Amino acid sequence: MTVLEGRELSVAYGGVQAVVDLSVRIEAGRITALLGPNGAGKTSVLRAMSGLVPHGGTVSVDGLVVSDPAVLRSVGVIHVPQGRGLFRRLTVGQNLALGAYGRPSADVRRALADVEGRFPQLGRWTARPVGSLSGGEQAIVALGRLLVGRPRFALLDEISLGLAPVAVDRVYDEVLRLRDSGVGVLLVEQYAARALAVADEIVALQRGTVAWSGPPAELGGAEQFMKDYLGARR
Amino acid sequence: MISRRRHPGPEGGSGGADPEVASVREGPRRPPLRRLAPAVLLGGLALVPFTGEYPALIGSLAVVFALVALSFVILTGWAGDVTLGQVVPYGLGAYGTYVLSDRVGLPVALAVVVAAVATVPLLVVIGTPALRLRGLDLAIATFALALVFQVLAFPAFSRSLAARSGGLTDFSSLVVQVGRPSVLHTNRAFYAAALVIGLILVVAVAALGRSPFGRTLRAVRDDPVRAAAVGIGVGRHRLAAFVLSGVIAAFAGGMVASLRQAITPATFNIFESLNFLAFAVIGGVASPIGAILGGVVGAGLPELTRVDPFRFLQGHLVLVYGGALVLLLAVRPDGLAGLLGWDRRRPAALPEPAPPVPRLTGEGDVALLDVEDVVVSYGGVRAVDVVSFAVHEGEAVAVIGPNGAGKSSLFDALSGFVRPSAGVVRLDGRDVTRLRPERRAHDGLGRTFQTARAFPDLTVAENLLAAAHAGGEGRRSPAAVHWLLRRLGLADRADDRPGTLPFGALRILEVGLALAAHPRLLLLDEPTAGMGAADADALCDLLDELRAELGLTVLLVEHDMAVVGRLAERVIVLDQGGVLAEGTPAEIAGDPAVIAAYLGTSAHLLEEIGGDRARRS
Repeated sequence: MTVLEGRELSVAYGGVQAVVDLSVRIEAGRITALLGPNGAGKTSVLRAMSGLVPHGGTVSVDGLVVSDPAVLRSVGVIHVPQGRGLFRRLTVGQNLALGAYGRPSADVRRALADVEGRFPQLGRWTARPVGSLSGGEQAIVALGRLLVGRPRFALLDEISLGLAPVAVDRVYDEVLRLRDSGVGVLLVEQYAARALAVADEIVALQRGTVAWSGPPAELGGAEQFMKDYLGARR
Repeated sequence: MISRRRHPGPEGGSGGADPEVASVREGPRRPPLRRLAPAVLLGGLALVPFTGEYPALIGSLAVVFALVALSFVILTGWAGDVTLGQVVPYGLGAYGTYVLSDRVGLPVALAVVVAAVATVPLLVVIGTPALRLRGLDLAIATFALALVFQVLAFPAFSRSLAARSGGLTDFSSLVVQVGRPSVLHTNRAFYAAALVIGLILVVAVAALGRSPFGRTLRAVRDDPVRAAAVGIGVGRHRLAAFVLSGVIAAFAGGMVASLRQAITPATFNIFESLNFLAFAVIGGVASPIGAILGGVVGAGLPELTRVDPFRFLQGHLVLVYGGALVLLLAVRPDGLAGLLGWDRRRPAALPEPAPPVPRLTGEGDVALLDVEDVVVSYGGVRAVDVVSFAVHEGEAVAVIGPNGAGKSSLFDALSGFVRPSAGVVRLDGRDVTRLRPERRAHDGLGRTFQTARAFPDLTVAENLLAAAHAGGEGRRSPAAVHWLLRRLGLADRADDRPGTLPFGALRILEVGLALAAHPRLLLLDEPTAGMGAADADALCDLLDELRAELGLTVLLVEHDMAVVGRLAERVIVLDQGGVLAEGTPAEIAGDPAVIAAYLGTSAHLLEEIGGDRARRS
């Protein structure tokens, strides 16, 4: 079975420790959701897992330790950063092609054709600058670019941010499809209810460490965390 | 990092005395020795020119350059506009001094002052069109202006002025003789007078920097859009900085004319202009003390090349300035003053807190906001396509709709950042459709933006003060800001920069900016986006309480149905630029068209939480 594993990760910015000795394991075909208040270190965990920030500890894919972001990407660890990381002035086609950056052009064309088969609208938008699309449409482009990269693991950071509820529904349908196709998903999501509804595994963060982890059904055991984190909402 | 922010609990709303906060206002103290160091060092340096006539000449030049650097502090350091044409007012001050003293017959000292003030109309005429540009464009435009003056205007002045004082040889015909006040006949006396005047101006400009005007300029520099949204007249403030800066440069020009007792057009060339900017940046472009350092560098470095180990640099000073500039900009953009730690600002001192007075009209029959058939188009696309609705005083209304439905365009049209191509926006019965954003802010319309930001170079307290000052609270504004700081739970972060705040607190500060400008109607653009649920709930509680305390009317755009249900009494649904539905949260949650276009599986959230609210009230 394919596994992406972070062990004893720590991340610091200047003197501020964002993540402390944190270990997390993502399995193929399962969704792991990172929950926690603002500043708990969720985004930093994702960045460490994709090699985008210097960090202590190790990241391994199937037991093989990898630290270079380009190598991580080439073995299928694809990060969709907060704000989706699209290039607003480039066209949809150019953005999608960047998802396969470095691969032979015939391969890129094939990957693009596959993705446009799955999202027909991406074919229609090919020549449009991403900045001219609505937020919901941009989320589809971000997911498209993720798929062009042939993900085995998808690290999704607040992919629903700023989206209308129906658009969030659509994005989560796609996240479930990703999982069903065998991709391991690590999810950071501000709408806790959304994350709880799709996750196979919850990792609750507080101040850079794991406060609780387990399947959503057992979340009752993390009563204090849920109270602190979710506030008045259920 | 662990947040020290306290959420204001439901009971913390009265704004009563809170003794623990007073001590926080003291701010960090530096050891006295380090605080005195700049004064001692600069004081010693100021005495050197008294050792002889030549050193006094160089010392006087240092004062002139320091004043030019000071002019950059206001314009570039605070207002953020870069000019390469500061030699223009500088030269005008010099020629004006000659005309007023030699031709009109004013005493020279008076002529310097009058010439500087007389540049005001010209600076307004130059600045009004030039300041339509920003950044690099403005730098290039002012560079071109300096070139025009160097090639055409200054030589022409010199020729006509020199010709009238009798025909001379070709070279000397361009030299215009200027007098000196008789008591300042020696360089030492001149230097003494220049030093005093220079110090007075530095202290005055430093005080200006701490004044509401200085704060406002820095707000304009850091974020002109937010500045306009809180009611700051951005264009007016930039022009004021341009003119004030030009007058100081013109004063320095008059001084240099009298010091050298002669003017040649060669003095006022484009390279001098570039040097001026270099001195200012090397010293520290946002710091009045840095201006002094810039003057010392500007006058001192050429002297250094006359002594032995540095003689090889003679004639290559441009390289030195260039190198120093590149190095400093890479390492310390705040210049020598920043490098030496001499540009710290004091924490704001605030009076006893007092809540702002609610701006209620009490006339419920006229809608506070009345939107009639508004259309907003960009190119051929109609982002808002004939939208009408009204919001009455005291209401809380949410605008929801799919991404791209026109919500942001509608907000921009309401707050004045885009002009509708058709339709009318009325605020309290008055047509504001054609008013600029800052005018609408004065009339009581406040707004926040999707991205959580505040003016990054101002402290939390200064952010709110800048907004409150623009909001016309006048003398009461510091007290109101103090009240707001406590009410928002930001009192213990008052002297920190916004960049150091945790995300939730930054969002609250953004709302605080709008509140400080004393609005009647608050437009909130996705106030809880990116916030965790607990933070979002706390912000909702806070907004609910503030609505009651300040008599606010609220219009919000939000995608989190839990927040909409929690805050709004009425919901307007936009789709494809038009109004799709309007009603209570419960009605909207049950509308099949809205569920299909927007709500999807989140309809239940709006229904349950909106229902809770309706039952409570």
